[in-house]
Amino acid sequence: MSAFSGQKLDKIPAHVPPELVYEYDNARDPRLLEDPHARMRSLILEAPPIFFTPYNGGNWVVTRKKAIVDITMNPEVYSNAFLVSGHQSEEHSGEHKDSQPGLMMLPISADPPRHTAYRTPLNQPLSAKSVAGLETAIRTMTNELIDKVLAAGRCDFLSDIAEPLPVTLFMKLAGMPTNRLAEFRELATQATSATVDHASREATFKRIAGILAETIKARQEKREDDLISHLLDANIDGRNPTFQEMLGYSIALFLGGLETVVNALSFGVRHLARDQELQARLRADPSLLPGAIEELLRLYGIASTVRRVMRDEVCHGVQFKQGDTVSLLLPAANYDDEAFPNPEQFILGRKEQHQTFNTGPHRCVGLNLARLEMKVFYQEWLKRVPPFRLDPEKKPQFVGGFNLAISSLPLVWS
Amino acid sequence: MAKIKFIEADGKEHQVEAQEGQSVMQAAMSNLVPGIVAECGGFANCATCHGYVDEAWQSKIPPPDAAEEGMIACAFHVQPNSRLTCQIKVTPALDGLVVRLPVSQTE
Ligand code: FES
Repeated sequence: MSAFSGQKLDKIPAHVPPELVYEYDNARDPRLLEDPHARMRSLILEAPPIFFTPYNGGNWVVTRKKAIVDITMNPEVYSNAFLVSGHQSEEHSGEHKDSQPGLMMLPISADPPRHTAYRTPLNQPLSAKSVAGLETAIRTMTNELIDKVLAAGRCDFLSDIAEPLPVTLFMKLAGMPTNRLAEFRELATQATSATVDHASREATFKRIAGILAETIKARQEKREDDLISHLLDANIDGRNPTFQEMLGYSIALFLGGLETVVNALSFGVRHLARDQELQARLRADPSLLPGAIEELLRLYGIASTVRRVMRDEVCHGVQFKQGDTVSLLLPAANYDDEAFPNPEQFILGRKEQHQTFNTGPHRCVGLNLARLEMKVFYQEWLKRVPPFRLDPEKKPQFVGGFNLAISSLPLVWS
Repeated sequence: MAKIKFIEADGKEHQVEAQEGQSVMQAAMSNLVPGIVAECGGFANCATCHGYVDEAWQSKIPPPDAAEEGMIACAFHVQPNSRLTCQIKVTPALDGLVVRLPVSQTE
């Protein structure tokens, strides 16, 4: 994860042609903070398909689906192996070198074939077949949360529903104490925030690692029916994961499970709050939900990802140099007209795969759980909550960075 | 080049020309054979390119490795001849291969 210093390079590298330079700060761009997904669309319309931004140490930004797929499918040239928690192991400009090796996030920070060995133990417990066993628990949690707000006729969708639901579920799944929900959610937000300084980010990761280490140690003593226990017994090339690797797994699961679904749910509900007709359609025919969820996932991609270029390479006509950093803006690729005709429109039944979960070896491992959480949530919410809309008094607030996010979403119904 | 026949669960047949070096999944995708989703693009981690290799061909194809086996276990409607089509390389020896497709890749 890049340290979003916000700093601008004062010299564009020699191999970058001036016509490919486009100034875009993925954390602080004012238009991004006004409406993140409208900004994603505008990048497709206004910026070159692959451009170089001098912000945040200077890096390439790729916004088109075809180029992103080609890059993610070619991990030999575009590596993930430099990703460590909290910051990149080395900044593009080479100015900032961290002497302390950061924590590898697993399996994200490994390239194939190592990646396959690390990923295999997660595939089974997170498969569509396995997560189906969680459906009843998710339904119960959803209804408990709805019970708390229904009579009031209003809620802040973030703090009342979107945060507690996936966070509670994830902590249960991973075997972490659910009574520390607020603390965990705060830490997850801090950890992925685009604008905290390097030192506080490091401190946040230390605290997260500390909590996770406690859980891992407890499970080492006594296995439970949870993911951490399952991973402790996993076979990585003929041995069990080391303590360090266990930390790497759990920190990646922590960030993946606590940040992304919260935001995907919130953007989706915001869309419904602004489209009464769609709400009515889905209420009348819940069998439309799976398709609607995919389309909401397309319209509101959350996470972006980064690759390091391992050798000089021409990609879709652009010369990359070894060592360059390439940001893949997955939420922008979902607005690429070449892949999605009329990309701003909500269209049920699109055939083309969206990029929200990425492609290639690093495709999101939690996607089955995310889809299930969303399906159950929308079923219950639309069944029980009357037509809802945005609170006209309070505007939602957005956050940029690697994860696009909303920090508050006041809703009202009568 | 090898001819591969995909048979959808409802019996609809699709004969395709596969290129050597491609995977069976890629041959299906580039010919728009319905019934294969291939979400991960061929890295044995989505199990949505699941197919049944016709019995007559099973012995002519190298057996699945551990990663493929683990992922087959995650697929729906698994049978003894289940394979991930992305893990089968097309060779001239596979000319005439028949792959049947499950009712659904995702449920
Ligand atoms: S395409 Fe994903 S497992 Fe074969």
